This record gives sequence, structure tokens and C-alpha cells, in this order.
Amino acid sequence: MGIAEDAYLEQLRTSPVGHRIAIRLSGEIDLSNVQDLKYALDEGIEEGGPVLIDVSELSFIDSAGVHVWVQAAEALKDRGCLVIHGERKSLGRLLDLLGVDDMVKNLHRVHHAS
Amino acid sequence: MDGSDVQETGAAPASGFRHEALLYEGVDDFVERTSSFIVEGIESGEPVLVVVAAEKIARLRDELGARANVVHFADMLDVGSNPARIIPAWKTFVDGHAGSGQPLRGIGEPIWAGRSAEELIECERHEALLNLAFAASRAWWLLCPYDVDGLPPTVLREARRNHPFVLAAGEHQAAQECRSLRDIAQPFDAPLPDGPVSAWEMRFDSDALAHVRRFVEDRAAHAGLDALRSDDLVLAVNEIVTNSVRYGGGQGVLKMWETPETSISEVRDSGHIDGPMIGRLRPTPNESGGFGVWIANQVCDLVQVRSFTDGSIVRLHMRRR
Repeated sequence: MGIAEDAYLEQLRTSPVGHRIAIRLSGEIDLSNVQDLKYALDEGIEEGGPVLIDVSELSFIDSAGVHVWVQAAEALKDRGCLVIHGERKSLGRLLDLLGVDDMVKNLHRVHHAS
Repeated sequence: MDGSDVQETGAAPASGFRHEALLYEGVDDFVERTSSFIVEGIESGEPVLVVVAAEKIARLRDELGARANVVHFADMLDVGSNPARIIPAWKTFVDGHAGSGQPLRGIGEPIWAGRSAEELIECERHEALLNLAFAASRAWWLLCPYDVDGLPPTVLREARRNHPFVLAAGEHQAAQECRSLRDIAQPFDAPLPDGPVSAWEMRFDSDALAHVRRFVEDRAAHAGLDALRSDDLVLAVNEIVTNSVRYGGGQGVLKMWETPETSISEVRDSGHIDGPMIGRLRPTPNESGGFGVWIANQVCDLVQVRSFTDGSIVRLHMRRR
């Protein structure tokens, strides 16, 4: 069996031009590091506006991780939104299975990686 | 949850849901009995959804002619090859007509002669759970056809235990032996034969989730699952293992093995799985948990969930081709 990579989360913040918080997620997100994801989103929730999440380097996320996004979108309400950018097939599948598009109106999925 | 026992009162259930088995003899009898049920519905302006095998849909369309245009049809192989997906489909139908005030009709045939032994047990569990799922429902009438010619007596007897009503030879009967809602709501503990001694095994805890995913990827590749199905299986196993970590005592054992047709992943822990409807109710994203078994049910060909006094088992089946 191969050596397992630990799940890790890398955070990239751009300084606000137009007041955006941008986060890049890499590697894998599961129950063991989902709290880090929550902390990373807290500032975005507080500030409002679009919170960009680049997931083109995210090779795995589970429902616990998606739940954090959903909670963030709901906390933002009409003060902002989440933009999930560059989803891979498996993430798209998970978001469809959870019915996220129907249930959370301010979570937007932009498919093409930049 | 309503725990009243149908056979004690001898009366129709308090719910608007009428769950009735239809015993038929061969395809022609099937067509005759189900088409008259459908036509009654059409003539009363009641929406009708028919979920049966494709060949039977074709026969019904022939029989109904132009009237088939107002009937909704769905192939049972698409909707419910994994029978745990069938209740959500009915819920969508029933909830989708919430505003109309009309009673609804449905026909659903989840059990046929070709079902494997494991699928059959899950189909029977599904039939029992329908009574619970719609215990407080608006008026709708679900007819479940059973082929007396093609199915063994044990299956037909079990059908009587899962349906408060049985329609046989044109006569509607109240089924005296139908299970109570209280019994149906108990943790499901039908036995599962042990997996093979040669199964690959790993213990897991909260630190091992990434290891679990690599383990599943390896075994999925060995079983010949393509990339998409391997990703699906990794997702599903990760969810079930996470459930064990969160709710099942923090740790457990993952085993994987293969039959010629299937790759099987088994997660055992020391917890209890209490909710009878687990994995069969569409999640709302603001719920914090309960997505795991739902996800597994959508991506796996069969999911077996068992809760015993000393722990729980979840088995995920993925066909190898």
C-alpha cells in the first residue's frame, strides 16, 4: 500500500481589492481538518461580499467539509456569497448528491479552473 | 412516531397512506389488474406514478393507449436497483403534489425473481419502511405487485407481513399478519453472514481517514472499478467510516473483499444505528449529520445497514462492471 498523505489545507488570502476574501484549498478535507476550513471562512463571513474558494487543487472533500461551506453561505445570507471555483468531477458529484444547488441560493459553482 | 398496531384495531390505518400488495399470476394478469387501477385513478383526476420494469411499462402503455399520456412512468431499474432509493422517489412524488389536494396513486414493483438474496432482504426492509415513511401522509394509494407464479411462498408470506392490505384474485383483504410500526422502527438486526477470512482488513480511528481512502483506492483498483466508481466508493466508505468516528465509538474495522460480480466494503463499529429511515431521507444541507448513508445509497449498488446489541455493520456493494 502507498504511504497516505495527511490531509492538509493551504490558505491563500489576497488583500482586498474590491473586498474579496480568496481561499485556495489543496489536498484533502475530512473530519480531521474540517475545523481549519471553518476558521478560514470565519473572516469572510464577518466581512461579507463574495468569498472565493479555489478548489482546483482539492483532491478530496467529504460531506463534513461541504457542510462547512453551506453553513458559511447561510451565515452570509444576503451580505455575500460563496463562489466555488474549479471543482473536480468528484466534488461536483458530491455537491449534486447533496442537492446543494437547490437548497443554498448563495453558493455558486464556477466550473472552469483559471 | 405512531406505534398503533393495525391488526389490533382491524380498521384502516389513521394515515392517508394505503399500502397494498397486489398478488398477480403472470404478466397478462399484471397488466389487467394494474391498468384498471391506473384507469380508476385517471378517471378521478388522481396523479399516478408507475415504477416497474421497462418491459411492463411498455405493456401498460400499449394497454392504456392515449390515456398513458397522463401517467408518469419510471423504470424500477433506474429508480431502485438499490431499493433504498425508492422511498425518496415516492416522497418526491407525494411532496411534489402537495398543493393539489388530490389523492395520489402509485404502483411499485421492487421485487422480482431475478433479485439476489441480499437484494431481496433489502427490498423487504424497504417495503416495511414504506409504512413508517408515510405513516402521517396525505391520501395516497400504493399498489405493490408480487408475481405469485414467479416468487417463492416465503416471499409472498413476507409481503403479507409488510402490507396492511392485500389485493388477491380481485378481493381486497386486510392483512392480519402485517407488522406494527413499533416493530418496524426497531433497529434492523437481520443476520449478515461473515465476510471471507481472506478479506483485507484495517482498523481505523479519527487519525486514519486518509489511510482509509488510500486503502479503498487500492482495493477498488484491484477489483477493476473505473476511476469514477472508485472515487464514488472512496467517498462512500469515507462517509461511513466518519460516521463510526463521530457516532460509533471513535474507531472501527474496515474490511474489503470481492465476489466475481462485486466489490464489498464493510465497516464495523461498536455503536448503534437507531434511526430506521437512515439513508432514505434526502438531506437538507443545514443538518449537521446523517448524509453518510444517504451518499452511500446514491452511489453504491446495495447498502446493508445492521444494528446489533454489540455494534453496527454497514456493507457497501459496488458491481465490478
